[in-house]
Amino acid sequence: MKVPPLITGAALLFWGNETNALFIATILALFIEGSHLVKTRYTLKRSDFINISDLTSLAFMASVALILLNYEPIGFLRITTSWLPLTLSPLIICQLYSTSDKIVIGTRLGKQQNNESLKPLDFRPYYLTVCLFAAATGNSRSLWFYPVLSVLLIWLLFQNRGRSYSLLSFFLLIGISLGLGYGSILGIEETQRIIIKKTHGFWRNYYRTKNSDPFKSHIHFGETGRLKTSDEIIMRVEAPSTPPHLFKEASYSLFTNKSWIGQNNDFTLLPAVTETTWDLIVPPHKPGTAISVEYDLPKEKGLLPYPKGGYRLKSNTIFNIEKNSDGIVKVIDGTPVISYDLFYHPEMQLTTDLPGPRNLEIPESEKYALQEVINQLGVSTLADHQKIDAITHFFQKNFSYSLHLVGKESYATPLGNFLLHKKSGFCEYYATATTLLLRLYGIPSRYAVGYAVTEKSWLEKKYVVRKRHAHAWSEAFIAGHWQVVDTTPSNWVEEDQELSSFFTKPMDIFYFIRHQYRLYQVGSGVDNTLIYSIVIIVLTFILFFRIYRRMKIEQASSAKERINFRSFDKIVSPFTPIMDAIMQSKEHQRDNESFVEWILRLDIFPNLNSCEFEELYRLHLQMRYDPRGLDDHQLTQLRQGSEKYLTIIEHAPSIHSSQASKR
Amino acid sequence: MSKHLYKLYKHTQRCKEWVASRFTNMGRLFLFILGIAFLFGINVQRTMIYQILSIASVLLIISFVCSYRFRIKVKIERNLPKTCIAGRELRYNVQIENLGKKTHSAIYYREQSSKILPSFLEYSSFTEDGEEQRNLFDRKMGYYRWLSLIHINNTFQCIDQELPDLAAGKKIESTISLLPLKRGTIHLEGSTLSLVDPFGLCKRQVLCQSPANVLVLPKLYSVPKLYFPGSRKYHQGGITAAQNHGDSSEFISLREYTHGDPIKYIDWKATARVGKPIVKQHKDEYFSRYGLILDSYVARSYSQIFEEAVSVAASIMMNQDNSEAVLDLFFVGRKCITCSVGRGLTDQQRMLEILASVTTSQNRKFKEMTALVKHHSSLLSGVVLILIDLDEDRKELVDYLIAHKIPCKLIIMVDSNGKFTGKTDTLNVDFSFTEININRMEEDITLL
Repeated sequence: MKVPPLITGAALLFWGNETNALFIATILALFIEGSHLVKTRYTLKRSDFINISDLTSLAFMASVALILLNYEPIGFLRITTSWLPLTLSPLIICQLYSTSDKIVIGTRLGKQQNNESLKPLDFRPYYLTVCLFAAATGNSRSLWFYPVLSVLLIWLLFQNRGRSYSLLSFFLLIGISLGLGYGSILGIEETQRIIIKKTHGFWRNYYRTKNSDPFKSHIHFGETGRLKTSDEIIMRVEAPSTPPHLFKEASYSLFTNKSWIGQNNDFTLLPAVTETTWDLIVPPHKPGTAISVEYDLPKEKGLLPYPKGGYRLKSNTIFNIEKNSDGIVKVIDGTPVISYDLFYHPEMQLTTDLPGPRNLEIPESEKYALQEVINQLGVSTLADHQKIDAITHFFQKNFSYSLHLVGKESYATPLGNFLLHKKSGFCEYYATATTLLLRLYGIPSRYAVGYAVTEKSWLEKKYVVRKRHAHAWSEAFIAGHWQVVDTTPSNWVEEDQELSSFFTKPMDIFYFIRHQYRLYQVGSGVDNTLIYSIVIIVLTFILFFRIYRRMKIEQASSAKERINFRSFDKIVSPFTPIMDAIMQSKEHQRDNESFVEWILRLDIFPNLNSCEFEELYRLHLQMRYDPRGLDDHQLTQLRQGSEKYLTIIEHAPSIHSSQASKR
Repeated sequence: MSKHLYKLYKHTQRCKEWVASRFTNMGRLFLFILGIAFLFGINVQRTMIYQILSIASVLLIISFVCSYRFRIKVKIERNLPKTCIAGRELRYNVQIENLGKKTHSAIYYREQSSKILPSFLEYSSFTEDGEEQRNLFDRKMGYYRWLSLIHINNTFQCIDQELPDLAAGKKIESTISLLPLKRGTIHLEGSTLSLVDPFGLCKRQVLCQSPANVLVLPKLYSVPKLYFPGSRKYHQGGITAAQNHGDSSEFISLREYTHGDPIKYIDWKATARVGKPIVKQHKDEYFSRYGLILDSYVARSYSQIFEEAVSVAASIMMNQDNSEAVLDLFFVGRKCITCSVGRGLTDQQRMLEILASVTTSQNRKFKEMTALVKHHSSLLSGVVLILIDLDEDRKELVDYLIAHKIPCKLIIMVDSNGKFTGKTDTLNVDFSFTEININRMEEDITLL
């Protein structure tokens, strides 16, 4: 595959123009195309190429880290790709300025791995491809993009065209291809437009039919039950005394088709009193109690759990909140872990939080079972609070707690089965049944969900709320106030706890550490991006320097220098005196006898380690005849070994006698 | 090994071969571009990669369609030698006659091997060199094993070589080069002629069947001549084996002429005296006889160390003066084999051909070799022992040779780690030997 000269430079300029990095692109292009003018070349060994690959990998990883730190994660891939021509430039530069026309790309990442299997490759076509892709990620929407891209590709194809065809055929086919290419671009753009339109319509319809809102305007039976299988801690509460038992997240008014649906979805932005304070209930406030809450909000938005009577919220990790007329608070911009101080007084209530006709609606399908229960209770003539007590007593006495889902079986609805037959279920069944029973008595009621705060952590010394503490209860509107009616058997917390994992305690430690780390990430409020960026750059330079020190890049000598080197340079090895001394021996080396065998035959050295001696001889030969010579370690080894054997030779009688006889 | 994985690798290999046969290097780069552009260019609003996708796909499609235009009718004759040497380029002439009515230019020639992909049995029973050092995932997936098997089955390397213009009805001659990669036999299925499309992305190949075989002799290294202090011994070689050397002119006695005796040995004076033909009887031949023992006991069907050991054996054999001594080669393939070379016996070329076909002895024990050498030891003046490991069994042979004062040159082939059983185990190695590392053969072999 031939890569025509100047095309890489042109592709780089194209990239620079598309990504507004023309200055860097010009410098790179000059560097790369300058290789045609500059005659200096460097001798790079296989290991040097691997080191340069390491440097490039390091630069790539550092750039990825910097991009992740400084840009939105969503654009990370696009930005990384758009800077690839710069991050990969060491590879192409080292190929162009080396004596080799190919490079070995591999990485050791600090280990001495065997890279023998890696095949050398010409990196130029790949670099050219990278430049084109990087230019495309610039997304300039320029009308010149396609023509310039076409010119570069024609340039490349022209050099590699099939020679059996005429130039006319080549250009004719190119013309057809460009036309078709442009047509397909228009086709792709149109197809994308149609797909987006259709997709939007599909999702809109999907959400409409499913009535599924990301902020849970409805709830299905079993949803809270599912949360109960997990021991994960999601909320921590710190209070001067015992905190309120229930933290409400949302309430629902309409029960239909096994689902509870919210009454008011009219959320409006709640203006902040100060930068970090919101009044959930308009003043005047009764003097209340303050509690501190830390709550996981992984999506950085969601419903805010807080106790009944909560009127003021203080937090520097929440930036924007919305509220509806039922008092449900929704965080629309916050950190992944929010910490807030909440002031509450149990008697305070939002003035707009009043019941509507929906708070009395009962599905026809459920009436038969509810009426049966009403008949059993027989308290229709009593006051409202007595009715509530009767209902509570009824459930506590006749029902038990279990986490099993109740199906409808032979009854018309699961609720009917629960009330008339099974008499066992979890909080959602009790809350639903209570809400509907109250409505049958004419008491406006609603279904509320949230968390029960019951457990004090042995580790954190705070009240912790796990996922399994998710709870549902009923709220009845009596005497102008919403009152909590929790009919779930009181042992539900213990029952749930029995199902908890054996590893709960070790996992608590993990959750604690994770929570502290998250708090550290968001808590300080200090932007550490610059510090981290500097740390990354410094570390990268240190590693760069360490890898660079391993490399021994030498400038390749010119042909003239090489001739001089070959003709006149003489290398004297530390081993030479040993050879000279042995040459004076009486016993001459025989034909076909290796040097080491000769030494063994002469028996000059007592207890000669033939392997060691052979290694020295090999190093001697390498020093004299191998163009690469010896490294420092090998030279030291040769010098030390030679000195040892020279000392023995000086006292060897056989050689001395031969020398004496010569004299 | 999973059969599903085997099928996956087999289909992938076929796919790779198809891509290699239909696309040029540039074409493969465009395929790569197409793949990447398809992955990341779907969203036309975020990037302009879809424009690259669009033009690259159009160019590839047009190129692919154009490549189907190639039709050619030729007659090809190769002047192949019978043997060649592994690692040394083989050049030979090819005569190509264009039987069609159209002149073709820029046609590329390539030798096609009769490749058969490894069967599941081969794949599952094969063990790659150093497989035990791979991690669990690699061992379970067996992909490196597959690659190694493909690499081993690849007997030669041949690149596309451009031919001169093929005029209609004319015959041309061109020199083709081929690089044999390993010893054994190269099976050539035929010749492939290919034509590249106008964009240089795709190619169309036409296979001209002409099966042929070439025997690849083992790779040879430059080895110094080995010297043995061993003395010459009497051998039943006689005058045939002696040829020019030895003590053949040493007179012993006179005897009656028997049919077949050379006339020049008739002692005419004695004949006249006795009255019947009498010939001079000379002392029989004395010459040196060396043993070259090749260790072929490997648990695997293919071993790089064994291949290099064969090359060392071949190199040593080729460097001995065969007019002065006889060299007996001992090895065990499917059975114990002894071959002699030198002094008029089998020539070196024939021995190289034998070495080209030597296989490993997977299910046999080294004791057989020990027995074979013991049986011949009385005849041997010296022994070159090429081992691929040093364990108890092998040490027994070395100890036997030392005990019987048979001069022995012991060579142990080692891999890149320089390890063998004798080094790692508690084997008492009290004799000298030469290690040859297969990664620096050229250097180590000069120190023999």
